[in-house]
Amino acid sequence: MHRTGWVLTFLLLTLLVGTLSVGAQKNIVTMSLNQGIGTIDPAKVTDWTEAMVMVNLYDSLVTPKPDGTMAGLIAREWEISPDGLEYVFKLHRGIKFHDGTELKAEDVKFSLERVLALKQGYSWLWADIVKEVVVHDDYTVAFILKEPFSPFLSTLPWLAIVNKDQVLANKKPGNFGEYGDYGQEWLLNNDAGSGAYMFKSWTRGNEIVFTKFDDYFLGWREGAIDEVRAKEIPPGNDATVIAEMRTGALTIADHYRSLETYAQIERLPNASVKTALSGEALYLKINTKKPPMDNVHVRRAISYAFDYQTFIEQIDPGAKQLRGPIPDTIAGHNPNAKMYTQDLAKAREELAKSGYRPGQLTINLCYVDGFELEERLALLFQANMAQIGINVVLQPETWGRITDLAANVETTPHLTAVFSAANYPDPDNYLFTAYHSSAAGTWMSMEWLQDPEIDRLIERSRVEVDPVKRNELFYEIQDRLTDLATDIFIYALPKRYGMQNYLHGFEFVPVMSFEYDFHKMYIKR
Amino acid sequence: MKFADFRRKLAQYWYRFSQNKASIAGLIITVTIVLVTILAPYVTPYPEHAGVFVDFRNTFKPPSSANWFGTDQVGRDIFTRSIFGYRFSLIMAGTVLGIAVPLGVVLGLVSGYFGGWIESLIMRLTDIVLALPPLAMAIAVSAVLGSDLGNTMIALAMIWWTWYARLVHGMVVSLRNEEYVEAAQIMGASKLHIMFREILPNCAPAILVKTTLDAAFVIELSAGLSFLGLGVRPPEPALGTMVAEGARYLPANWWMTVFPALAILVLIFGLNWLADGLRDVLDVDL
Repeated sequence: MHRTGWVLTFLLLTLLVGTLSVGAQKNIVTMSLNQGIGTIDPAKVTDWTEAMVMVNLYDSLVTPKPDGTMAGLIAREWEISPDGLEYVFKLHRGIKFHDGTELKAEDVKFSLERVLALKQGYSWLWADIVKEVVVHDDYTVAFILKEPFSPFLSTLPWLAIVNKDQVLANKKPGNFGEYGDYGQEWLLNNDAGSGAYMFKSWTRGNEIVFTKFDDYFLGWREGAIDEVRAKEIPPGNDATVIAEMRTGALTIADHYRSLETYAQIERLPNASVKTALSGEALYLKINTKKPPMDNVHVRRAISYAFDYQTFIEQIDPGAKQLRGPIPDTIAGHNPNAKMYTQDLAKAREELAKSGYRPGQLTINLCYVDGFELEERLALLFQANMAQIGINVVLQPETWGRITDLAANVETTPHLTAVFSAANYPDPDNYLFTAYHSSAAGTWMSMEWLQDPEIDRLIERSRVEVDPVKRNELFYEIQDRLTDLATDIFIYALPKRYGMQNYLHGFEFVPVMSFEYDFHKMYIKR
Repeated sequence: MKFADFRRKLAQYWYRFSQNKASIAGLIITVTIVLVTILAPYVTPYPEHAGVFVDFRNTFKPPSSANWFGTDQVGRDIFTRSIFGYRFSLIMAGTVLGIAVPLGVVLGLVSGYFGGWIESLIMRLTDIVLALPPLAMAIAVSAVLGSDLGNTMIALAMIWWTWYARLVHGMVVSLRNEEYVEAAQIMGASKLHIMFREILPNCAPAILVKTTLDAAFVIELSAGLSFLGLGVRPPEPALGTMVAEGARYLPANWWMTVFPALAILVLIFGLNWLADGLRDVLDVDL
């Protein structure tokens, strides 16, 4: 009798819990990440997975539109002084941070100062450019520049606005005087944003979860996503991605999967693939300071020997060969820049001019270990170079190791396959970080070009306010770079995304990770 | 031993060996694979596919009469590459055991025969090295010295000798007081003669059987290492690497994984059956 009573109570409880969880059914979206997340501190964000987190947890003054121009987000409107030195932003009223306090001009000032003080992440975008930030009133803030920097507005999506009071309330002792550690330790595992989503949990090497912020200032539509789970699935595990897309355990397959994987997702009845021509470009960066690549004729020889046609037709069908360093989706691209195509006779001619004989040269090509697209590219390159008598040693390395190798001109390989993402949709994004001498020593600048003429032209383009004159400078830079054959310019990457059919609202934006803005997406079955 | 005696003995061994069908199968498999591997450039349909070669018009072709095992992500024939992949496995097994067996046998003989502090030193060292897991050791060495085949093989050899040192040591300890050893000592034979001519031949059957078994182990381990991307540089074919690469295209392009994996399986089965047969014949208890 006694026992029956317990069993009944248990059954009732189970029923009750069951009903409750049905009542609280949530729209949960799961996406794959091909690589881990290093940090969620918005001042330290660099790669695409970190940026994806930042876009969702934080807001910025402006946000990129699909055509690459900027729309206001926190900023309602803005004015640029005629000399290009002062940017005044008017903010929306009533924007709430996740802790319920209001976002004000002071937070904008603090956010930029924090980034500049920590000198990490995207601080290089503003380090030598912004003189000061002036708060006019709670809803008006001005950025004063040291000298005109024409792409300034398009860099601002990377300035995530953090909650000053909350960060300072959680500071620990540190090197920044009254600011302590600038809340670095606290922001390792917390967010201080006003974004559409709030940080919930993060298991390093596995999964990060964020949940909807109900008081988000832009409001929510029907079918909005309540919870986002992004889990790490390494590039070698595409079979898992396909299996989970089939069962529905995965809603979005990220854009760094193999072509075969997207082809299989496309065949699933419940999912499909979206493709967008991105501003992301693939280069084989040539270390122009390491013999024999310091010889321009060797560089031209390999530029002529590579089989671009096979690559864009067979390895990544639907792609477009790059003409110079800047993809043609970016305004400022030079449509008349020299484009190398495979021509073995010219390649041999250039090799003869270099003074080296066929069979004499051995060069190494470094790429990300296990990244199948780059691996196929490497095997194709190796076979092409064999035709003109250049021996290629393939060097697959982890991405972390490649960034280490890039720090030194001696350790930088002869060639390295690198994708350059569009951080801000402006030619400057592709030129300054790769070719200006002051940017040397990172994975973005493995060319080690250090050419005074290029430096001068880039510097002039950065201060030029007149768009026509700016374009002329860009054209000149592109002509010179292609003539110097500083890279093998392969192609602009068509980005593919696998998605469940019930997910709507996805919109491609040509700035890294801003397409993963879950506030725009919704579920409709 | 006269030649006729030797022949009779061989015939006897063969009779015992051939009683077990699995042993025969093991022998045939092993010999065939070794021969085919040595003659790979002549017996494979597309030997150029093992080197610098791409053909993007023929990627991901399922098994057919032209490509028995299908083709891979850059259009290379998987049958050809599997045969060439055996080279990596066999070179690995040959080199690792080629260094480890003589080293371990000599150390085992010396420590077992001389005893005393020499024995303590060698056997404690053996214990210490035995505590290191071979796979982890090989990965560590590759990480420090760079991942090439030579380093990986040295790393494995530096661990593998311990098994032979221990095996031989144990046998020598029990053999050194046998009457024929004492007889040799009384007749004034040198220590070297006693170790290598009197004792070693009696250990030989056990060493032979263990070497055959270990060949299978090393091949398995080398497949594991190349699966992790250690020891081989593309485009060089290695069975483990082929399995790892193919796994990215599962389940649609199953042939890329299944055939190289089967190739490893067949060789390991062959070696194990062969070792079983040898054990029966030589009457060894390991």
